[in-house]
Amino acid sequence: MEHATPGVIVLMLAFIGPVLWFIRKATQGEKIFVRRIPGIDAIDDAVGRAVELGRPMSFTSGLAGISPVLYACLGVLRHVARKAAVFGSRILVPSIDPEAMVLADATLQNAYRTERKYSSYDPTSVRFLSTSQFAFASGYMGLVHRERVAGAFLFGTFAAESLILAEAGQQVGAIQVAATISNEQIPFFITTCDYTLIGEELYAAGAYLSKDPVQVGSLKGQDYAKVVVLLLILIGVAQATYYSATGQTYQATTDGAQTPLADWIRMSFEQIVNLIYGQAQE
Amino acid sequence: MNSNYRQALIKAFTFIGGLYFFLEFILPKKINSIAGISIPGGFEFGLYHDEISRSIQIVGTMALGLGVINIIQVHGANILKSKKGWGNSLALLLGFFIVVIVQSIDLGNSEQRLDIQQEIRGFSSFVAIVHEQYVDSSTPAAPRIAALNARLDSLRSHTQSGDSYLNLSLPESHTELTNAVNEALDNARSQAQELENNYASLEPDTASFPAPQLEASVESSIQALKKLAELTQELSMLHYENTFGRKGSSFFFGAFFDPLGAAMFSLLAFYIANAAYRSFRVKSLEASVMMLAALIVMLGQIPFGPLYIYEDMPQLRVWLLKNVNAPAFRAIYFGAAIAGLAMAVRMWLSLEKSPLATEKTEEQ
Repeated sequence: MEHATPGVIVLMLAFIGPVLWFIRKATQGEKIFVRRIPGIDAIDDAVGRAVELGRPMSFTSGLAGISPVLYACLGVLRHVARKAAVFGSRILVPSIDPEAMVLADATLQNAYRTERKYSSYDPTSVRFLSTSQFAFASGYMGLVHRERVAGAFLFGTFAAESLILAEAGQQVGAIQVAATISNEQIPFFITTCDYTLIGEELYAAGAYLSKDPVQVGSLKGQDYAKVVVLLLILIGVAQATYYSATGQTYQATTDGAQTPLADWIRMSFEQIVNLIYGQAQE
Repeated sequence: MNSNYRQALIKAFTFIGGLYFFLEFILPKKINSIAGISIPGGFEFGLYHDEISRSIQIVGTMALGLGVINIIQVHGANILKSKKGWGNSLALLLGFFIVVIVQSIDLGNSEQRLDIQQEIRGFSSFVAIVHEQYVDSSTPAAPRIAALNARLDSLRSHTQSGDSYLNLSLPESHTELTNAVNEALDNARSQAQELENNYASLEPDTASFPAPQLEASVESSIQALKKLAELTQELSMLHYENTFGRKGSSFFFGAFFDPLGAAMFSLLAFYIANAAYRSFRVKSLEASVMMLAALIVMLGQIPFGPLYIYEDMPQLRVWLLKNVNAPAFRAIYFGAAIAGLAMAVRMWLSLEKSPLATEKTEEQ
């Protein structure tokens, strides 16, 4: 495993500090504004449509294993499952990862229990299809077609199978809401789904739906962490301009970095990303 | 267990687990001193990191068992209740069990082959160790080499046995291999016999010890045994490839699983065309900008030659990808990474309500 450099530790503190500070403020009762995100509002519309049509909904976290992404997805699943419990709609959760399947099942059970509808909980709602990417995709397609789902939620990590999953929902005329941090799959979801949450909006969805002070505070803290990133970018631009104006060249240790700051940020940030998501980002 | 205790236990485990991985990440690989006090031999925090990571894999493997139970529950219920499409469930379960049986047979065969192969591969190192101990501590070597010879004799009998991976009754097309294994076995046996005799005739206390002829004999025995291991590996692999389990496994993967996976992947080509058609319908200003950008990238991507409608099109494409696309993707990447970090901290410190927890509703 990679080991942190002092730069990484400084950067992590600069990001985590504001998050913890605003979580504290939010739990102390400070009101924090969260902007409207149409994609998240569409979640309730999709649930409503499925209830009206008397057809089930599907929710998948894609290839996400046990990770912060899955945890964010479970927050949304919990919301959808509670609505399904209240309105008596069916929800199907096809899964590729057995560990994620177990957590999704527990989330569903607790959502039904919270709404005092545990007797309506169907133990076959969460379905393990396969650990193989395309076997999962074909299983998902079959499920969506057979059950004629009216609302499909694609929240999580996706790879080449994203378009297959989204097209399946499109073919049965389901309202589809997608959310992913997989950059390469965002264009596919935008062209195929009705609403797409991009990148960090996936994490914001839980805060937006639950209004939990911890999550809302964290959201504001993340904005301040992004201000830190912005400042670093501005310093980097100034440094690059200086290098360019004085005709100096910088020997970078990472690809493409043209200034010492850019080099340092790139190296440190990649380490942080690897720590959170592992090495397999592509 | 009381729900409160369970929650506390989960939080404690989460915190300790998170703390371990965090410290493993931030601490140097080896700490040689703390506050000026040197640690003899240094302290390595991640010394058992591989074992800990493996334990996590074991939990994942147990979860796979739950996945299998889920498949049997869902599809078994479909069959028992004769639900719509129960035939598909039956086909799935039949397929599942057949593959499990075939794969188990294949695994058994593979293990059996590997056991024999591992033993034969170990012969040469055995001779080297025996000689080393003979030289270093005068451990009697002759009886140990005699045991090796007895084992080589029993391997010879394996070559006649029909169910052995060393069976030499092969079709004529494999005569060359059969002869080579026979020869290697004979050679290894005679070299080992010579070595046994040498050990038996030599006394470690003699002035000329270790005798040069003994060293040569050890070396030639090792080489002969290595050659034997190499050829028997080829032979056992040949037998293994013809076992029912291996053939069945290759059939299921080669004739079903891989082509079906490839078929699913190839669907993407049609879906991409379909999605591209939908996105290129110019309905709004944003769609028009996107279409224009896509058009430039596509035209700039086509092979070099007279097909370019504008000679600087490839440069324009690269400019778009490098200066418009890449920064946008990077911004998403930064945002998602910071959000992921915040989520990881919240999970680690169990700060927020878990989606797995039962929440009290207003009426409650």
